[in-house]
Amino acid sequence: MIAFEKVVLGYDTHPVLEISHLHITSKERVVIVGSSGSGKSTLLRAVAGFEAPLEGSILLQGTCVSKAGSIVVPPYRRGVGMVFQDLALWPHMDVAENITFGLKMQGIPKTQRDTLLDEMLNTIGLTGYASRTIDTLSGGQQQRVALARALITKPNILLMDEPLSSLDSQRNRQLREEIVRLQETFGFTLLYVTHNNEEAQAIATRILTLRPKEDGSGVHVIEG
Amino acid sequence: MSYQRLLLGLAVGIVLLMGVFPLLKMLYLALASLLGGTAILPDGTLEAMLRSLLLALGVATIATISGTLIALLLAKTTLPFAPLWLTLFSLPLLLPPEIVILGWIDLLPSHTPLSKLLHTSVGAAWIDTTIFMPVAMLLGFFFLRRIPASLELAALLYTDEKGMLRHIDLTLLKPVLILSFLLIFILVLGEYSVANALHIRLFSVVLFTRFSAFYDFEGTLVMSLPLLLVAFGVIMLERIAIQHTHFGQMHQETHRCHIVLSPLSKRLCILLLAAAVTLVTLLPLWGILGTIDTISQLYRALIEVQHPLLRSLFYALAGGAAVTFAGLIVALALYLNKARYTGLLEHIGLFLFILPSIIIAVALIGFYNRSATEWIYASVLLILFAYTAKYLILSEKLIHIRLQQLPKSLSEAALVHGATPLQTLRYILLPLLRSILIAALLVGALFCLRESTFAMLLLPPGDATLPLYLATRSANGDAGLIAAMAFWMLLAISALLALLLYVGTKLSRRSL
Repeated sequence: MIAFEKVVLGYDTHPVLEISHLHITSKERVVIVGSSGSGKSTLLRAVAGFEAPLEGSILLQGTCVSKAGSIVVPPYRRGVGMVFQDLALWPHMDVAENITFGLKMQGIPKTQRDTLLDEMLNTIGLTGYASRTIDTLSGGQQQRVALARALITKPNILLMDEPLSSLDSQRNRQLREEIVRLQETFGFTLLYVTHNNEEAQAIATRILTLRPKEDGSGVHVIEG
Repeated sequence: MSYQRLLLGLAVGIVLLMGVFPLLKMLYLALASLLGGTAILPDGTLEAMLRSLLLALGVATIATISGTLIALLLAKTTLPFAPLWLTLFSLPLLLPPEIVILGWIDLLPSHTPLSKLLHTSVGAAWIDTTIFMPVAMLLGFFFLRRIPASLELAALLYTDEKGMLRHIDLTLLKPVLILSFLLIFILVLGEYSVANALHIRLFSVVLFTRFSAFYDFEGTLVMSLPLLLVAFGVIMLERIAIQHTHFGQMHQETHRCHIVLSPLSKRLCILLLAAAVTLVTLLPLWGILGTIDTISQLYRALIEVQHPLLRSLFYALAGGAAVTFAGLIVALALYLNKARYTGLLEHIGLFLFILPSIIIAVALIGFYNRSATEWIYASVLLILFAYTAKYLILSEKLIHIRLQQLPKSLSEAALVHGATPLQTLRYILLPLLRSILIAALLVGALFCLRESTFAMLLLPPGDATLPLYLATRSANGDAGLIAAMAFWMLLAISALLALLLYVGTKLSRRSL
């Protein structure tokens, strides 16, 4: 499903994370943990297609999507979903427009979009919220909208970058249970980044830890 | 070619065609002419140049100090109605200089000592100070508002509020002070309308006369060289000043550190500000309004100026639209292309902004006055090019700052959910930029409206805008009627300004 072949990730020419070989199979729930600056988000951004690896190649479903210094398949052709740390909900669009944006980009007709929207709002427990603006939603509701937006196009891979970090512990617990339930319902492969070990244990079928290399270079490697 | 590169190409094309190429050709012709023996400062012009330099130095010093003091009061104390004060103080900058001068001439009865003083370098210095002081005030205000409160609060652990102002705010503000001084200096040096209306022989007037009265194209080009050189020097100094502004650390904060004034100090400050506003803004306005004798004069004036007024508004709005479109292209190009050299576009934009309008106009005439580009030269495009070259930096900065405030994840979320870069631009970035685009359009329109040098040199005869029409009519017309004509101009500017304030308020209330 997702394969990293001798990948080095970093900024400009400065390496941050080395992954010699990593294969993530279909429907896995992989959680990546590590300290700040270890390259957790960089890894997700590389899978999404926002960053090219400095070395090596990344494959999605057997196709090379990025190789050293270049993005072979741009983000909008990768068919992945993503929930951002700041959620990145578009403030000029209402809940319905936010959620169905991906469908609109795929050219799906309005009537079909509306049907899928109703189903999705029902799934995430936000029926009746379609025309609400983003700033009228609570933090938890915004998280659900971001999740719905990522899931409505039925991606094979869902990337989540510390999506629950801004919630209190009770909300955090509720939503991570919901994420697991949704993953089992939709059957996507989940790549989830967090620095919270308890969250990682609750969600993961496999945990990958990013640790500094022993040579003191500041570069991190994957364990797990 | 990716659309990022395409945008960069477009941006570079705009800057080259509207500014760099015409200036380079002008420079080439000027140097050739200089080598051919044309004098750089013909008889009598050295004196005008020295007078101009002295005036610019004086105005820049006074305007920077007074503008910064007002900025400090409004940004760092609990004085109420800061936006209102800022608007009132900024009016002379936004009004066409012809209107400001008319206000002062109307206010001071002729043949009185004050009226005589107005028609000297001192009078020109006073009017230029009121016009350009807002540059220092606005730059200072917005910079001071961006100083993180934590820096000031940390200082308050060791010193009182005066110490905080001195050691933190003013120290951080130093490069902005230098920038304000340099900007005002060069703007005054190139200012033509004030000196011309007051019949003071400054360098800009000599330059303008050489071109428009004697049609001495080569002589004008050569005489422009010192101004070009000074503008280039200012840009270099600005680079050094900006390098030390710590802009990177500055950000918009919801919590700001304000000095709480005692009721007595507050009243005193309000009184001082009110006196200053009266002196720089309200008096010339009163000069105009007080000269209008009857309501019927207003009606007669409207009938007479309807065409120049509509023409002014048309050119201002067309100019504003052109400036905004070009600003959007350049801002997007800079935002999407991270290469370091792209910043050069902004420096060129600033260089064109500080360059005296006459130089831009002459350069454009020299570049486009040929058969292949006749369709530009003989059309409204030429003045739109001039407006774009001159005011591009204003709209580009507004839009670029807004783009930088938008979280990058908003565009990335669109890309990852299937939108192409162009669709991301259409569905995400442009809707989020809508308010700032309207603001940029209004700011552009206001500046185009006050710009009369381009209108004088680049519009066909008989196509005079209202400020020019007023300048001509005021030489031989009924003062009440002329004031009534100016009233309609004031009304048009007030409408644009009110729209701008409305958009600005909407923008500042936005969470993003």
